Amino acid sequence: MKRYFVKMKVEHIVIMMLTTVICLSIPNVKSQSLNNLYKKSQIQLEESTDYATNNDWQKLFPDADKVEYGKKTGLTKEIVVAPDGSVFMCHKTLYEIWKFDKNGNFIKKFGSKGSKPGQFPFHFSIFGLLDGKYLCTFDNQGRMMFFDTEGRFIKKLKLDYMPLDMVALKNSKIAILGFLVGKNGKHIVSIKDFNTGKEKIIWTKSEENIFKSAVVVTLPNHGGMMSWSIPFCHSSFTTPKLAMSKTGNLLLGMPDDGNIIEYTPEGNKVKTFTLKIEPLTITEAEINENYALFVKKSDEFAARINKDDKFSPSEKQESIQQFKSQLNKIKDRNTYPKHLPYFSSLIIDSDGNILVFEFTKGEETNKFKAYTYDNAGNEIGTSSFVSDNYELSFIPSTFAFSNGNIYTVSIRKNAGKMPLRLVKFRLT
Amino acid sequence: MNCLNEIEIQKYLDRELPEEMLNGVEQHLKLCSACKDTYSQALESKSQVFAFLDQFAAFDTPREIPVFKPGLKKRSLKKIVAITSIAASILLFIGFGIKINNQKTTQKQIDNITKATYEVTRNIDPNKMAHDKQIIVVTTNSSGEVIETTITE
Repeated sequence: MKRYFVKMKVEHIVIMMLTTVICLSIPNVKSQSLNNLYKKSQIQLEESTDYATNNDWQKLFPDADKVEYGKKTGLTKEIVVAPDGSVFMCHKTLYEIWKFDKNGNFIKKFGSKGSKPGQFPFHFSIFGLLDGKYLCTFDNQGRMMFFDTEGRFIKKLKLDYMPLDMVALKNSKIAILGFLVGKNGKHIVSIKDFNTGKEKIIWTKSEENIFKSAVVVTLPNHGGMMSWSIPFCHSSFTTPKLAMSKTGNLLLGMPDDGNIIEYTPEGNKVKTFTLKIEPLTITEAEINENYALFVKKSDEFAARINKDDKFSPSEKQESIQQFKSQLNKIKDRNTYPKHLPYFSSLIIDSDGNILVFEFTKGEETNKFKAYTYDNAGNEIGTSSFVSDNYELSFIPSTFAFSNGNIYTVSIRKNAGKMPLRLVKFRLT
Repeated sequence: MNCLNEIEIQKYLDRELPEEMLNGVEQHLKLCSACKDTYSQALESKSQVFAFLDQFAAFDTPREIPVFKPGLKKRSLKKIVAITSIAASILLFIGFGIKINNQKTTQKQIDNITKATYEVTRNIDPNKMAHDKQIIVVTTNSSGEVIETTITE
């Protein structure tokens, strides 16, 4: 009997050891798998057909046709993937957050429009799960609100500047990219402590005002102002991109010089490395195209203002002249940056590799070229991400890696009335 | 030519700029709406100051000298000085108030246009923006509030 138990124990130990070895080797296999994939010239995003099968898409996306700023904004959904695989989706236009289980099926919704604690007075964004348990939200007025994974309101923090992006780090810290308005406008990156609310600024950059990157017309007497941003010139192209490393540190990607800077959650610089990317230049032909575009805009503006009874003929003439007098700067190379940014998006995969997406020129808008680096900055490969069935958009807030898969809300091609889908992609 | 600062614009208004700079400044004001705006505001303030000073010009015109009455002249002078001081203070306050308010409105318009542009770009792929040469058009009203934002293709 005693020998039998000894034998059982040995068998158990062997099984336990084997299980441990297999478990430990799984992430390694996945990591090697992702690394190997990135060495391929083309990566196909293949939809998991057993994911999100019980959803009624028509009911899930009632705002899909909602148009704001002349665009269908209801088509863009920010998501956060929890460690257990459940997905939180920001239904911005409904002022709600919707939760899906690990199989992609809708479970519940929470949040509403209003000014009480836990309510959203303005459109908001979701940006991460702090310490794996608090869902983080913010609006452009600087309100940060936190909910637990069941949708219970936990806490509110306030910023005195306009937040543009945020990322949740380890140790209850949040990195914030913000913009301080005023004559001396500047971008900042700061780190805020969730528990104390204390904030430390770790990076700043002064920005020239809109007159450098836009055509601006002041409407006489009426006193209003109109602005047309010049393509390639807006400073949002070069604002730092925030991401969390696999170890919970902050990665600050600099699109204007191709540097990646790593900070601890406490704001101490760990290292900097430069991506080996050759940024694209802005050609004379593109500048001429821009000029032709703005000549057209100038004519459209003239037609619009000439129809407006609020202005006298001389006021109309003055406004039109203001626009035309700025056309020269569209043709001036000095208006433009020396080159396009080194990358358009920065995404960290579930193995901690860094993916940066390049600016593309040409006809293919649904083929995205990514440069991939490991977390030490060593180049892994360059490959294109493609999908046969979905229109892709590599915006970090709407796109998440988890356990080697990609989660996003995308538009399914030729899907009829309701094209939006919460989808899980396998990389092949 | 670079944009003008407020001191240069004030000097231009007061005809205190060196002659060799005048031509360049005039050309720049024709082309640059920002400087033209600042210039218009400065010009407006200057007009208000002159309007204010014009009221006192009447004191320079010859007036009949009143009959001397002991004690009365002193009191009148005091009264005039007091009234003048109060009037000057009020007018200066109004003048500065208008200037500051104009500056605030313009800065508020610029700030709100900047904020609206960032808000719109948050969930747009910069690559798509560049690829499609998208233009963000923002319109504010006279209070600086954004009344329309559109993205053109």
